[in-house]
Amino acid sequence: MFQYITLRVLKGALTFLAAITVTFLIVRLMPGDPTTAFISDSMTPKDVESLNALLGLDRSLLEQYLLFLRNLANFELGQSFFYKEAVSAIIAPKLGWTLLLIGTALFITLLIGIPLGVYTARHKGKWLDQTVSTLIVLGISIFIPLLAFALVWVFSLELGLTPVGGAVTPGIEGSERILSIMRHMILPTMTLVIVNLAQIVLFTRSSMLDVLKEDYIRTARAKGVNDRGVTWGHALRNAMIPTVTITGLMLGKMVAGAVLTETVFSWPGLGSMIYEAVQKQDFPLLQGAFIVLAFSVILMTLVTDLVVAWLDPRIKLHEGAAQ
Amino acid sequence: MGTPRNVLEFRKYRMGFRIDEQVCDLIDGLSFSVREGSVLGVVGESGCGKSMTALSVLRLLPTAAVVHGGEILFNGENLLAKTEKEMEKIRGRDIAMVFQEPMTSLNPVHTVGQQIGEVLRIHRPAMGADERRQTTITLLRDVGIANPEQRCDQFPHQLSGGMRQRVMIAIAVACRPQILLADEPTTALDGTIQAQVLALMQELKQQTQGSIMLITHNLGVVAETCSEVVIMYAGRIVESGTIEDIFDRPTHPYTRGLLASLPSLVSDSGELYSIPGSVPTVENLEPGCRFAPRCSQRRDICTREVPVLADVAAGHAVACWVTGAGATP
Amino acid sequence: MSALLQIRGLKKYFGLKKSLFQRERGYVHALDGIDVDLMEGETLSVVGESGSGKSTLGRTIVRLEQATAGSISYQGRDISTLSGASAQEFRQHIQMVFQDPYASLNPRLTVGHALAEPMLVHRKAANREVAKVAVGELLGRVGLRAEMAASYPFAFSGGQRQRIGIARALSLGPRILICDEAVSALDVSVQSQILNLFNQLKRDLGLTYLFITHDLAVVRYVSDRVMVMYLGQVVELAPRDAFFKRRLHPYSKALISAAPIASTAPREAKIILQGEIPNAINPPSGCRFHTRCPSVMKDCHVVEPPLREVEPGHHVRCHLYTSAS
Repeated sequence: MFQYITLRVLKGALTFLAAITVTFLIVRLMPGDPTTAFISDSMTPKDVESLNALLGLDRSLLEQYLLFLRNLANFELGQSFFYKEAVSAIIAPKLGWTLLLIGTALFITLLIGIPLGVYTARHKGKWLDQTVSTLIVLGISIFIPLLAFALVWVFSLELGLTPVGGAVTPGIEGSERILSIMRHMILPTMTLVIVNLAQIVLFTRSSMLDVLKEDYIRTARAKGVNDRGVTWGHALRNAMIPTVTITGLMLGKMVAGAVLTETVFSWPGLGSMIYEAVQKQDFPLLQGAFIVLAFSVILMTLVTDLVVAWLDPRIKLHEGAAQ
Repeated sequence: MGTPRNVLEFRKYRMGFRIDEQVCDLIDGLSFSVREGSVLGVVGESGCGKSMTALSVLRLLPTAAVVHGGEILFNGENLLAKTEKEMEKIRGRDIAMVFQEPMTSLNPVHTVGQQIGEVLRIHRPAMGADERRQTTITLLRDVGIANPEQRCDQFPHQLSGGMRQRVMIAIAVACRPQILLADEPTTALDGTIQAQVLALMQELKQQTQGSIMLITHNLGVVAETCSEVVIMYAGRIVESGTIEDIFDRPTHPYTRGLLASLPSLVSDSGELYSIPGSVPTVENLEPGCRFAPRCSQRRDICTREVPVLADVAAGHAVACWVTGAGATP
Repeated sequence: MSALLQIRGLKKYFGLKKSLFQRERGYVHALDGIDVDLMEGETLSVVGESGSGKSTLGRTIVRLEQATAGSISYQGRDISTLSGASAQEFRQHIQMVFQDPYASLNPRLTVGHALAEPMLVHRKAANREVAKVAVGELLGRVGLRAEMAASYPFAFSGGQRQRIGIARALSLGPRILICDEAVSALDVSVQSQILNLFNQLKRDLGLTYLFITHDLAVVRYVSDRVMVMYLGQVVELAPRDAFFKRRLHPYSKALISAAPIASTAPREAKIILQGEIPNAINPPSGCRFHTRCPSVMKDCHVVEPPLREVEPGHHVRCHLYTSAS
C-alpha cells in the first residue's frame, strides 16, 4: 500500500514537472520576441529591464529553465506587470476564494448527484428517470455565462434575493461576514452545480446499472437482503469506483468552468484573475495561475486515485492473491 | 413413520420471457416435488429452463421474465402469493441458493466474514457481533477452509475458486435452511475440487437433515449425488424417477439419447450416438412434443399434442406418446 | 510410426510484474520441462486441472506464446525459435481449435469470409472464386451446408459454430490439430456430434491430434495415448488402455476417482484429495504433488522424482516407482 502511494505521488510529481515545463516553453519558444507581446506604452525602461531579467532573456534556455525551477521551489513566481507586486502574493488570497467556490460546488454536486444517479438507476425507464435525465442534460448543454446571467437576472435583479456580485459585502466582520459570504456564494455555486451535475448523475446511473447486473447482487438477494440493502450496501460501493475516477477528471473541467463563472459574478478568485490577466497581457500572473492550477488539479487527481484504492480492495497491490 | 412430506412442490407452474414485445412461454405446466431429506437432480441442457426453475422458487427471475400461473408450494404455502417482504425472510433462512460462478458471485469489496455475517445479521438479529464472528469462523471450518480466522478477514479475490464456492456454501447453510438450491455448483471447478465440494454438500445435508435440489447438466454428478431425478427438455419434464429408474431403465427417447451419447470412463465405447439437431430456442418452440423434431420415434400425434407426464411404474413418470404410459405400440 | 513433433525440455515462465521496489521477480511456472513426442496419426490427450499447464502447452506449440526454454521440433526443424515468413509457413502444418465457439469467431465476418481469409493470406487459393469453392468443400466436410458461408456467426448454434471453428482450422490443410478443450463448452448432445466429427476427420484426412481436456471420459473415447500434467510437469504418460486399466501415479488415480460416472453401478470410494491446487508461482519442493498425495513418503518433499519409463511406453514421475523393478 505504501508502495502504491509512493508510486502515485512520484507519477504526480512527474506530471507536474511536465506541465510547468510546457508552460515555461510555450512563452519562450513562441516566434518573435516574447517581450514585444508584453511591452506596452505604460512600461518604463526600468520595467523593460526587469522584464528581461525576469525572463532571463539574456541567458541560455537551459539556464532560464533552471532559474525558473529554482524560483518555483521558493514559491517565487515573479512579479506582475500590472500590479507590480509579487505574483505569489496576488494569487494566494484569490486561490482561497476559488477553492471555496469549487470545493462547495463539488460537494453539493456529489451530494445531489450520487443519490440522484442511484435513484434513476433503480427506477430506470419510469417517468422520473426520464425527466431527470432530460433536465440534467439541459444543464450541460447550457453556455455557462448565459446560465449565470439568467440566474442573476431572475434571482438578484427581479426577485432581489441574492446579491449581484462579489464575494462579500465589504465592511462586515465576524459571523455576519460568514453569512454574507454564504449569500454571495449561492448563485455562482448553483451555476457550477447545474453545469456539472449531469456528468455525475449519468455516470453513477450507468455504473449502478452495470453493477446491478452482476452475479453478486443476485447472491445478495438470495440471502434475503432487501432492496435498500442491495442498493446501498452492495451495489453502491462497487459503482462508486468508476464514479470517483471520473470525479477527478471532472474537477479539471470545473476549474475551467470557474473562469467563466467567477467573471460573471465578479467572484474574486483565480478564474476572474485569469480573465483579467489575459486582457491585460499580464504574463507573469498568467504563468503563476497556470502553475497553481496545474498543481491543484494534479493533487486532486492523486487524492482521487487514493480514494479509489481505498474503496477497491483488489488494488491492494502485490499482496499474495491466493491461486 | 409415513411417507416423507414434500418440502417443495411445483404445481402447473408457467413462465416465459418477454422478447421484442412478445411473450414466449418456456415453462408451461411444470409439476414436480422435492421430498424432505432427498437430493433431487434437475437435469437438462442449456435452454431447458432448469436455472429458471430454481430462480423461480426464490422469485429472483430476471426482469424480462413473466410468471403466468401455477403454484410453488413450500411446506404447503404458495411462494408465488407471498409479498416481497415475506420472501426476503425466506431467502437465506428457509431456502438458500448456491450459484455456478464462484468467481463473480461474491461481492469483491466485502470481506468473506462480512458476507457470511450478513446472512446472520438479517435472519438472526438477536446475535451479537462477537457471536456472529465466532459462528462465521465455525462455519468456515465446517466447510473445510483452513485458517478460518485469517480467511474471515480476506477478500474474495484472495481465495481460489474452490474456496470461494465453499464460502458460498457456508453462506447458504448458515441459517440451516430446509432446502438448498444448487445451480451447477461445481461446473466451474476442477475435477478433484468438484469431488471435494460435492462430498461437503452431502455431509452438510446429513448433518442438517435438509434437502437439496441440484441443477446440473452433468449426468455423472447426478448419478453419484442424487436420489431422485427430473429430466427437463425445452421447459418441460420428459422423465422423472429415482436414479435407478433413470439410469437402469431410461424410457424417454431424449433420456436414452443423452445416456447413449456419453463417452464412458469405465469401458470402451463404439461410435457415440448423437441426437440429431439442436436444442430449440425459446422463440422457436413447436406445438406438441418439443422433442419431436429430433426424435427418431416420432409419430403424427407427437407434433400435434403435448404428451402428458404419467407413471410407467411406481414413481417413474414419462411424458411421451410412444414410450410413455398408455402408449400404443 | 514416426514422431511428427518432438518436444524437449520445454519451459514457459510468465513473469509477474513487480514494482520497482521489489528485489526479485516472481514467475508463474506454467511449463517446467516437458519432454514428449507426438507420433504421426495418433491422438495424444493432455489432461490436467487448473495450473497444470496443458493450455499453455498447446498455445506454445502453435506459437501463440513464446517458449522460455527448450525446443519444439517439427520435421526436424526447431519451430520454437521461428519468426517472420518461416513462422507463417509452419502455421499451415499445425492449427488450433479453441474452446469457446461464441468467442472465437469474428462476429463481423461472414463465415465464408472467415474461412477464406487464411487461404488467401497463405496463398493456398489464388483468388476469391477459388477460395469460395474451397470454402464450400470445407463446410461440407464438417457437416454444414455450403450456403451457410453467407451467414454471420450469430445465426448459428454453439455446435455449429464449433464446426465452423474446426473448418477454419482445417482450411490450410494442417497435419496436426491442437484441440484446446474443444468440446468442453458444448451441451452433452452436441458434444458427441463433435467428437464423432473429430474421429471421422482423422480417418479421412490422416490427421494427428493433441487433445487438451479435463474430461476423462472424453479422453478414454478419443485417445491413443494419455498424458497427465500437474503444475507444469508431466506426471504420467501411457497408452490409453494401459492408463485406464493400470494408472500408476496417485494423481491419476485421484483424477479418475473424482470423475463422476453416469451409472448406478457401485464404485470404489472416492479418493478425496486434501487441500487446494498449489500456486504455480511457488511450486512445492521435491515432488510437486507431495502436498496432496495420499501416498506421500518421507523423501517426497525433498527430492523431485524424474520421469521414468517403468513399462514399455508407460512413463511415471513418482517415487513409488523410482526404486527397483
